[in-house]
Amino acid sequence: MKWPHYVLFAVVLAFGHITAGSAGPPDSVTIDRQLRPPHLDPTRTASASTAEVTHLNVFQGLTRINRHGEVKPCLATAWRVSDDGRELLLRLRKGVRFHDGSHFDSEVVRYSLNRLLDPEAGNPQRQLYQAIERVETAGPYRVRLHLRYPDSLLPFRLGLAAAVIVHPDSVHSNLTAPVGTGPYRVMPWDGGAVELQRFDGYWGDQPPMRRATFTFTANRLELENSLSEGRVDLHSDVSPLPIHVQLALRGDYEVLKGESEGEVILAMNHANPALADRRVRRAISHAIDKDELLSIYRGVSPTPIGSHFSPRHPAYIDLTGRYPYDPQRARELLADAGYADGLSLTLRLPPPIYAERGGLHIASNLEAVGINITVERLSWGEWLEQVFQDANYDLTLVSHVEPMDIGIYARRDYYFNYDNPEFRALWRQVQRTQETAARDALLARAQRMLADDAVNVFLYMKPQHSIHRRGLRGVWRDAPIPAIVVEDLYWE
Amino acid sequence: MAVATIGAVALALNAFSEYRNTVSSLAQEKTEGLMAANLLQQQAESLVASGAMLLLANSQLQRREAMFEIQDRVEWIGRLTTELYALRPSARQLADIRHNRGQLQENLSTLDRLVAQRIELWNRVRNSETPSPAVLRRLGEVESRLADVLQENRALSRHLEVAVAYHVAAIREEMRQTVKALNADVVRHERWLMIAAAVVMVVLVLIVTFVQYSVVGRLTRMQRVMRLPRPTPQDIVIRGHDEIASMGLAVRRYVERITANERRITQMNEELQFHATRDALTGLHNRRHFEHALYETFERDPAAPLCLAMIDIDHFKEVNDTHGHDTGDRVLIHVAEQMRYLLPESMYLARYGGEEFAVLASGLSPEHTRSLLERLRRQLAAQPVHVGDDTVELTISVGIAPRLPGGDAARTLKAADESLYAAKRAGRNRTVIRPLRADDQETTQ
Repeated sequence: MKWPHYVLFAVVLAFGHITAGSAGPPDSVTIDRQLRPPHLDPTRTASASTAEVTHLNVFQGLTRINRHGEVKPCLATAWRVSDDGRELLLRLRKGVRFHDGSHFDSEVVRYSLNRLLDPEAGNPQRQLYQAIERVETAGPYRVRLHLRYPDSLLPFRLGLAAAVIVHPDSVHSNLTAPVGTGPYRVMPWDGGAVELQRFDGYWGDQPPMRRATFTFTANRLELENSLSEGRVDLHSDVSPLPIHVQLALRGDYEVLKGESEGEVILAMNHANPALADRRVRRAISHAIDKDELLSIYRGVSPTPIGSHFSPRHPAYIDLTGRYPYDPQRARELLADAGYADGLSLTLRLPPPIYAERGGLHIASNLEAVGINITVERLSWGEWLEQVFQDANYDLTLVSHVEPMDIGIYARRDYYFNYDNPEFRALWRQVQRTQETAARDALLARAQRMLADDAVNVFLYMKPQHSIHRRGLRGVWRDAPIPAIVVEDLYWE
Repeated sequence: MAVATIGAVALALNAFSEYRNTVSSLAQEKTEGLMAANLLQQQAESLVASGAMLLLANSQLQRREAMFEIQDRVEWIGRLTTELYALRPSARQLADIRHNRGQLQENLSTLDRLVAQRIELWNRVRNSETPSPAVLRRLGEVESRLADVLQENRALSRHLEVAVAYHVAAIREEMRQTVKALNADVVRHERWLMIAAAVVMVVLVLIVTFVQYSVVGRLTRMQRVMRLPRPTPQDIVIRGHDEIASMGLAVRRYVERITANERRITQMNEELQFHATRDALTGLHNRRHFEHALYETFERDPAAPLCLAMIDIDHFKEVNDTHGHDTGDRVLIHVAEQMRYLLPESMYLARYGGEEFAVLASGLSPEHTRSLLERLRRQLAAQPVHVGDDTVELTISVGIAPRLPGGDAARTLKAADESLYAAKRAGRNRTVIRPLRADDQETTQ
């Protein structure tokens, strides 16, 4: 009898029709970040929001920094420093292709690094690579870097988002349609959520996640709602979010208490005549009650800092007692500086939760010593443009997530408008000193100089409390660099 | 059949696809709309709580905190309204929500300003031992203004809630209607599927019947014919012009060929049988067959009476010598013909050798046998044989022996032979019966 076969056929066909596209084992992940990246080219912005989405997912550098902050091979498989430290010879990986099929070789590397060093190309982290004098190809898969002075940190810096390798053919469209060598390619982007799709031609092992979606929720209430309704699999920074404790208790989320390399500072614009006065800056440093400020974190005590330097670095010196909370001293200093009758400043806050919540305390602290504060909330794009780029602000609260970035104070064009020839000279000396003890001593001087100058109010190291759905594995606990490495993620 | 089945499958697939679209629309647009509307409602309600927080703020920090929250809510409400508008562009009431939200935002800003003033005035009151009447009066004014703004705030909030709740209800109703329509669709498609299944069933039964009649039945009939021990071509009925008919035709030809072959073989067997038992010249039984029949007769019934006669043509050698062998053969044929003609059919006749013949007469007495053979002898003697121009006179000598008491075939045969010699010795052209002798009995014992 043929009937059952036909029935079976129809049933199978119909069933197949319905179930087509239904999920097998989960192989996609939704990652939420608070800050929407201004664009997707990490070589063109200092905003970590771009690196978090693209670095190591879409773009890769010659080296990579792993979850423990160690330098590992990436597009370079090995490297050697010459005896005099003035040459870095890198052997490149073969068989690497960009997402558009272009080949990766020493010419591409030379182009990329030259572009990194070119002031016209607009890489905001260009200063980190000043040691490189010249890039030379030494065969199709060998590159030799001639250095102005030995720089032991260079392999580490080549693993940062600013130094990712780009191809000359796609470099101009990388802002909106990035093309890299990483395990994921970016689906057409309309400026909203970023969809990453596994790249079949990837040189390494195929990662477990087929698809990753980065969503961006600036509104704290909306973020809390998304998390509690389970629309987000991973949010890498929820530390100051009151709801994360409840979510972890509820059982469907896990919280990883990690640390970042981000120094949270109250940045001051030295171009403001009042803030150009060290007495005013010191007054502000004394006016802020750090203990009260840190109460925005629940169940965690972030490490306070006294300068722009990570306590995890061996050269760190403890300057946290340099400006104890002393409103009276603050008022005196202000009076000294001629602001006894008050001073009006604007505090422009970027959207991160620590900045908004911390900003409230800082505004109150400053008002308490007679500074009239106007609080303004900016979107991330506005902050990047108005504050970071145009230095149109008096005060702002932000975290500097690039590791070992004390060198920014040697940059006159930086948004602090801090102009101290002494510090610049010191920093040049730091860069030229390879001997560790001598170098650490110089770094200690640099930290102290910044603290003495009260360039900014150095507050604390930003905790990196990520929250992720139970069953998601491979999440980085700490954030030695700003990156959310999708390649490492998998569902249990 | 294929058309019916594909039709049914297509119907099912089409139905499934429709359900999928409807369910997707339910899951995406409607649910998202409902979610957005719900969130909107929730935020509108929470806005009242945030307003209360703002009102209760007794420090600038608390005020700003409340204001941040309000700003976040208002911003979100704005986006949710846009989202809802994108999903339900026709809804006119959304404009109301927008307008309402704007008013509420303005109202909350006023509230914020007033609260900030109140905090500042309070701080002044707290910090001075004797508050100036101007400050107190100002505080009173601010408080009364706050009460007004709060009244307005409550009205606006309620208005917003109601406007949003309208959408929640509307979307819920739309979803209910969609689900209802979906259910009706499912029922309708179920019915169609059942009809399609029934049609397929009926078509199937018809096909099976047709196949049974046109294929299976004919094959079974042919098989039955082929199982017969001797099928004849006429048994195989050919109908139609299809493959089965041509197969039947082939089988029938095959059967015809087999039957013809069989017939030929039987004929050949019969001829062979004939030649094996007959004398080629005279057509009488040959000696081997005669002896076989003789022994068989003896064994079958040892007591039954019988006679054995041996016949020899007298002077046959002379006939051969004088007239040639052909004439001799003609003479032999003539004698055989006469024997067949004159002797009863019950007698077993054979050419025993050269010119010698044998006769087995079962159930006849010696005298009866003799009278019959005597008639033969007289007839032959009276009628010369004409062969061409030759006329051959001939006579025969006959020796008869009855079955000897207890005697076997060989002795009886010998006895008949002896009688023949006796007849020859006595001058030929005569018949001699072997009389029973006293020692016949003894010899057998």
